[in-house]
Formats: sequence, structure tokens, C-alpha cells
Amino acid sequence: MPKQYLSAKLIKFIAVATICFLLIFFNPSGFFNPVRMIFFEIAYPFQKTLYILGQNIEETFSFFASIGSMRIENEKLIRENNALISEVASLQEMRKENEILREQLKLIPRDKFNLVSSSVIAQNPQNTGSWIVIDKGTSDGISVGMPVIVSEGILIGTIGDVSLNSSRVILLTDSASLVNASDLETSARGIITGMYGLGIIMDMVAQVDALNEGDTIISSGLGGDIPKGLLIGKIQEVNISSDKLFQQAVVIPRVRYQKLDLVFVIKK
Amino acid sequence: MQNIFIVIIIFLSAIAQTSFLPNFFPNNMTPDVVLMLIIIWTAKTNFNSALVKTIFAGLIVDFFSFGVIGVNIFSFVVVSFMVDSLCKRFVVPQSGRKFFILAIIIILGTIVNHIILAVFIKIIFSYNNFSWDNLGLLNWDIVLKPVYNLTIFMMLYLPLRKIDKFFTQQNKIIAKNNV
Repeated sequence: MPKQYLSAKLIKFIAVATICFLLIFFNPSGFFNPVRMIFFEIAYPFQKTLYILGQNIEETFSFFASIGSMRIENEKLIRENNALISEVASLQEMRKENEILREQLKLIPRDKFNLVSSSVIAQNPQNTGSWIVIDKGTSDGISVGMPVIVSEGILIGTIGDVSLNSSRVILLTDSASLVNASDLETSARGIITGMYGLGIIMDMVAQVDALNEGDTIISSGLGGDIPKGLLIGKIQEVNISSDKLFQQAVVIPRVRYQKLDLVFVIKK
Repeated sequence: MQNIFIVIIIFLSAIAQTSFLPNFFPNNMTPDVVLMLIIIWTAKTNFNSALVKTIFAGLIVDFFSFGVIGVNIFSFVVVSFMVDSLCKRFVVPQSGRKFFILAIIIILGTIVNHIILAVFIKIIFSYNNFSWDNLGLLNWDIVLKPVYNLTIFMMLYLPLRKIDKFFTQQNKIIAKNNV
């Protein structure tokens, strides 16, 4: 009897494993896409509700956890506020200068982007890539490849998959993400790619180009739908690639991707 | 009725794993709720009885993870097979230490699931810039994730047992009435 059980168990295991391998290697994604679309339509209201609920609970916990440090933080904020008031005055001048420079570089003014605001409703729970799901889809005119930004024109990723009411945003930290970028200070060009959700690197930068720690990295506007001048992050470290042909820079993103709640999709 | 309930449980657990729990856990460290369900069901019954649930749960997680269909199904089936083999060997003869053995099985199941997903996704499908360091096998991820999963396991074990008991009683009443 135990022998019989074992054989039945093994046969079932091998059969399922074989089917899985066939599915994985032939990867008939087109076959499953309609099912996935219907599935996401059903899941959409639950995802949205649970994500907002989760955020509210997390915020409440963070609030109670931070009560002790509020007095110190308040004093710090008052000092910071005073410093910022004086900084605002000097920034007024820089704002005018920035407008002139953007005009000279033929960059689209940020307020002229056709933006669609959307809320984050899900994140990747496994280490199988770096993505978020937003609550806007084809019904709002979203299509694959559109860039996604947060508040002040900070690029966070591009649209990867779209269903009727939701879309998947592939974040810059995903290894499948490739974005043309340039160094704002030195104009060195390269490709921004992710390191399995752990960070961002600027790769394929020619040896003759200059890359310095602390430089600002922006989108270069070459290829694809990503406009020029979207902020990506700052260089933390510069290395030589393993083949010694190019330079690589570790880039620190300007936002924490895990804490995103509201993002904007730039429509064509 | 029980099957519908199981489908709803798997579906809601997968949603909780992607939409609710990522708010509380660091990146890539969200507990594998659906995997814990599979381990509980396999440990309580056997591989054959839990197989349909395992395949369905894997498919649902594959849909939610936007990955290649089959990766999570394969991973869950391997974990279920392993859990069943280990439970048959250790849990029955050592019933006094059941919880301790189950905890070890969960740790092993989490690590096996983590390795299978990492190998499939990172070596086969996106091998550029591949590094073993990025798999999270050599850092705190591999220590913390089983701890989180163990917590989820403890939270799910009793409610699932109560649900199972409820349906077993219902089935008995229906069978009695039919007789």
C-alpha cells in the first residue's frame, strides 16, 4: 500500500512538473493574457481597498511610533523652516534662469505634460522583478511604454502591461527596465537599468565621458516615449564595467519606491 | 461549498500578499501567505489531496506576479511534495514535537520556494547583470523571510483548522440526512 501511494504521488508530481516546464519554456503568454485581464478586473476593487487600508494602518502605526520623537522633530522643523524661507528668496532668481535654460535646451515645461494621476494599488511581493500596479488602464488612455513620474518630474518607471482599469509600472530598479539617460553636469550619456530591485546603475557610459560622484542623472529623451529632462537620481559611485570597455555608475533614486502612493503617467 | 470557500481564501490571500502586506514589510520581504496555505493543507492532508489547491494557488500567484505562467505552480508543487514527504517521515512518529518540526518544514519550504523563483526568474529569463549576491541567499533576506512566514503560519493555522472542522461537520450532517 505505501509503495502504491508513493508511485501515484511521484507520477502526479512528475506530470505536473513536466506541464509546468512546458508552460515556462514555451511561455504562451498571449494565450493567458485574456484570462489575466479578466482576473485583474475581478481583483481590482479588492486590491484598491486593501492597499488603501494597508497604507492607513501603516500610517497610524508610524504616527504612534513617532510621537516620542515629535518634540525634537518640531524644533528641527522650525530651524529648517527658517532656512527654507531664505532659500526660497534665492530660488526665485534660479527659477527664471531655469525657465530660460529649459527653453534653450528645448525641454517641455513640466506643467505642459499631459498627466494622468493614479494611485498605487499593488506591489511585487516576491523578488521576481520590481513593479507596482496603478489604478488606471486602457479606459484612461494608458498604453505600454508611457513614462511614470512622481510630483516634481521624477521618473520612476514605464508602463509594462495594461488592462482595462489597471496597469503595471516597471520600476527603474527592475533589471528589465532600460532608459536612456544623461549626466546633467557633464552630458555623459548612458543607459539606466535596475539591479533586481536593489538599486539603479547607469551603464554603457563611454570611457572618455566624465562621471562624477554627486552628479544629477536625467532622462536623455533618446528613443522611446520618455521626454528629456526627467530627474532620475544622483550618482553615488563610479566604477569600470567588467569588460573594461565602459563606465558604470551606481545611481541613488530620488524617491523610495516602496512608499509610493500617488504617481502620474505622462500620456503621449 | 467547501471548494468555493477555498477558491475565495486563495484569491484573497494572493491579494493580501500583493496589495496589503507590502505596506508593512521591506522590499522583497513580504510573507508568502499563499505558500503558507499550501504548507498547512499539505501537512494536514497529503500531497495528492492538496494537489488541485496547490496548482490553483500557483496559477493565481503567477497571474498576480505578472511572471511566466508555471513558475509559481512548479515551485508550490515542489514545496508541497517536500512537505508531504517530510511530514510522513517526521510529524507522525514525533507528534509530541509537531510544532517544532512544522517550523523547520516551513523554513525549508520558504528557502526552497525562494531558490526556485530566484533561479527561474533571474538565470533563465533575465540573466544580464546576474549575480548570486542579488538572489538574497547570502544576506538577511533568507533569515527574515522564514521568520515572517512562520508568523503568518501561526496566524493562519487555527482559523483554517476551524474552517475545515466546520465543513467536515456540515458534510457529516448532509451524509446523515441523505441516509
